Amino acid sequence: MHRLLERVYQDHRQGLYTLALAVTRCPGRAEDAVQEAFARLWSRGATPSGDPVAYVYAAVRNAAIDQVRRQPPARPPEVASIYNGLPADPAALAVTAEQHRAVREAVEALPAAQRESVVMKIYGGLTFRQMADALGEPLPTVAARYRRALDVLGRHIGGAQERRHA
Amino acid sequence: MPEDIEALLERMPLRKPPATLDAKVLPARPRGRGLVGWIVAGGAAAAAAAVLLACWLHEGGEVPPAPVPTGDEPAAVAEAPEPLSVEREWTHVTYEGVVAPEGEPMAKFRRHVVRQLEWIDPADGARMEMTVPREEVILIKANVY
Repeated sequence: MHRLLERVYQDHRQGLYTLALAVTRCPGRAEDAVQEAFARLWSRGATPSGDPVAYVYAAVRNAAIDQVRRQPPARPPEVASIYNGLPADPAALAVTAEQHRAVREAVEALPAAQRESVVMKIYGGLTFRQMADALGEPLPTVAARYRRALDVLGRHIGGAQERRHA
Repeated sequence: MPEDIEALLERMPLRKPPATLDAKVLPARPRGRGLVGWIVAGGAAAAAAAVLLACWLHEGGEVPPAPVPTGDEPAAVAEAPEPLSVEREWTHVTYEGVVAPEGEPMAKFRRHVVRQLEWIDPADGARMEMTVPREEVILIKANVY
């Protein structure tokens, strides 16, 4: 069980941290959430009955939600993006500064559940089945939410680019 | 187009987890017995088992037959690398007659117990076995007619 958890952590370190950050919107709390989730998982020691990846994502998400409940964000909330700033050479990422800004704003403006679904699918690489297991929701609900999120992002990013070109 | 949005999202540079995260997460995991620990424990157990078994055999005991797998033993699971443990115990009682240690007649029985513990590491199939013989004397008040 412990080696399995360790492997999931090594393989999904970035995705788990990004999910925790998407929930808490604070790097320090995201780090604490991942640590707390694994501390609980290590101490539990039981082998998950379902998909271990979904199980770990669920644990990190729950720990992140607990973090937010325990310490509501200060006002005005300091929102930390899940994205880094552009590197010195944005061409290396094939993302223009304009796209970077538009995507960042669009993802941050998504409702929490949609943002989490984008993070789990795109940055965690989870299947819809794993997402459904992690969220404890039916697969069609999870898939539909993800598609809605992409629609919203598409409209937001397209609108932002049109406004800048106008 | 959703595919375009997905491709764009994938190209975005993510905020990296802090370097301190590994140090916070991984040391919290329970540590198994290291290789040296297994060797030391195995050696000690083997030595103890050899001495005790020799004493027991000297007293006329018989080595119990190897247990036949019944299929009830837990199987090694690839995703549960915690060592599996199997425990077996054999008991044999011999009657050694009537004794009177404190003037009162007692029936004397000697109970021989061999306890065998086996650990199997499902990750690589390594096995460690420990055999612990023990014996105890039981005195039961005898009715002499």
